[in-house]
Amino acid sequence: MKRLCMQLSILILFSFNSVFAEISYEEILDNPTDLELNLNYAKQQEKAGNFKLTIATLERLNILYPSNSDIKLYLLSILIKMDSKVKVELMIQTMLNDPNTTDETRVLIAELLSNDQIEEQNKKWFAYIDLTYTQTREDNISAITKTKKLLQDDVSIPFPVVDDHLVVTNDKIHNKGSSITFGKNLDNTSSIYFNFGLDINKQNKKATGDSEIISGSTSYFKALGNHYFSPYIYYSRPNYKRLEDYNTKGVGFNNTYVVNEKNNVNYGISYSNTSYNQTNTFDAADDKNFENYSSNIRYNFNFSPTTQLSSKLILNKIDSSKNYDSYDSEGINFSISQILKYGTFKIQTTYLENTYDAKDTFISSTIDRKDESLVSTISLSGQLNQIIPFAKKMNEDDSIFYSLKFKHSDISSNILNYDVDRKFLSLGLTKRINLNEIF
Amino acid sequence: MKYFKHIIIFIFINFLTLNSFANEFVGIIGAGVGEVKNQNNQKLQNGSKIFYGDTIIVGSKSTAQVLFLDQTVMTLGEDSELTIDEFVYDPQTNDGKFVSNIKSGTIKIITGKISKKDPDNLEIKIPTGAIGARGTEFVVLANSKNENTVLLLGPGPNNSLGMTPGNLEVTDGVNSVNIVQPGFETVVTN
Repeated sequence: MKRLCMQLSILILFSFNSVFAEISYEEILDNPTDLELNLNYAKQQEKAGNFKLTIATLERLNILYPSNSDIKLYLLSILIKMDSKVKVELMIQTMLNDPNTTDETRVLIAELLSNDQIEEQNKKWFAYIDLTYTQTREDNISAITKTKKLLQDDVSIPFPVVDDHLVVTNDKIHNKGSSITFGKNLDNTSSIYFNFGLDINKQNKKATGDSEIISGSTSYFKALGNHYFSPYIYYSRPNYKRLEDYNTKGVGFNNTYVVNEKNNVNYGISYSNTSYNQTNTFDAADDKNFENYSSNIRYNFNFSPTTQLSSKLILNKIDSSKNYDSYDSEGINFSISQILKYGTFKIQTTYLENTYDAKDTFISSTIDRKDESLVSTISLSGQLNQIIPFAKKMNEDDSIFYSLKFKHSDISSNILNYDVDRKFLSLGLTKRINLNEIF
Repeated sequence: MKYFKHIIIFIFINFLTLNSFANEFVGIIGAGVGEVKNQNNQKLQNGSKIFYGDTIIVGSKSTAQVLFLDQTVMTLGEDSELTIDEFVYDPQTNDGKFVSNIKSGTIKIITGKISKKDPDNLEIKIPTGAIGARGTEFVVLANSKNENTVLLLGPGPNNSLGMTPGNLEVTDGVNSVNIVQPGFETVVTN
């Protein structure tokens, strides 16, 4: 609000020289396009209570000087006092659709509106349901090592033979997911979200690994100037077929600082705790319990309105019940995304180095485990009708989304057991059902 | 012969009067972007004068704002056409009469002093009817000869500017409706 006041003050000061000279309507008829004269006139008319002339003058200047954000903001500041939601909404829509409107102006619009009755409208709840189906084809679902060997008690042994259900190479994973999200704008700069989801994963061949995962999360969003804060908490509880079940509770934040239109910095810290369920079948399951401390900082550069380059530094610490499963992870991620006619095309690659705290003597008594992983992803995602034009008929409200993804994970480890190469190809469809009408 | 002389003098005086009305400018183009012209196909620019009887034609991807002497302001969107059928205004008393005819397009009107002095003296004709307005800002969407929409923009009754709340009376020649709430509209059909 301070910045807005300052900006409006500058506007007023700009015209201060001639504020005291009364400007007549006849002078405006003689000079309808003179920016300084007309701004002064608008100000004088505002002071005199002739708001219709103020509005008309500012609208004229807005036509003549469309890239001048100060005029738009001045006009908006008058309109919101006019008790005409339709007029304010029209103006805001025009301003937000205007490519000349900067991020700074958008923030100022939000500040202006914080005193407006639209705030009340924004306080309503909104909600939607996402129904997702994803099919993933994986070429090495049992994580068969590159050498097809395993290390056990310092001795190299062959990897178990591939069969139809225990050790599998190619397999398909069918994921059916549903989630419901509720949100509420608390004011024009903050909002809160709740999400609950259920995912059912089924594999065609491999006997172990089918799962049902329930999850929930709550996140809060707050904008303070150019700084956007988003703390969150989450919970997930997978129920695996023939494998140990566990639950994870996590907390963290993911904040963004917008430097300017082209540059922004995103950073986050999170903590999670994963507890395995010890049962008669899995009597040592809690050996796998671990805590995850994670941090990252990402720099985004908007090369153009349709192209973004990103780089991210990653630091993780996994603290497991067993020291040989604890490790420090450092890495870097690069990505480039491009908005195309068919959707958003993205290429990203992540390199991570994991250094383990202790030797796993059941595997090797001499080697300190160290992994390097390189995961590369190519994806295309967007509205279904962007790739299938005739789908527009069944997707008139643009609520069906597609995603195509190819992922290559190459892990190089100094211990054979973890030296694994895997490729994934997935196709996903999501139908979003808007529940706003119900609320 | 005496009567004939009187008739000649009468016609001559009337001709002078009409001629002076025809040359009387009633407003200006305050802002014109794109293709803006009059009934004689003359291009209208920022500051161009608008005369009694003129028709203002705005082409596609164009817009114009017209400032009238009584401070009525009309903003014409693309593909709009407006004729000034009558404009008489006394700046000393704010008495006058303003009749305009919207032929097509989207036109936003902010009422001026003629309407303030006597709302009955402002009349906006649209292809399917007519509008009377009091202290207000409204939009006419005249997209066909058979169906036009009139939307009240404001001010609302709870405005904090001390402005007279907007009031529109829209008629199709037989029935009429009043609009007092900003955001409300009426569709006038033939």
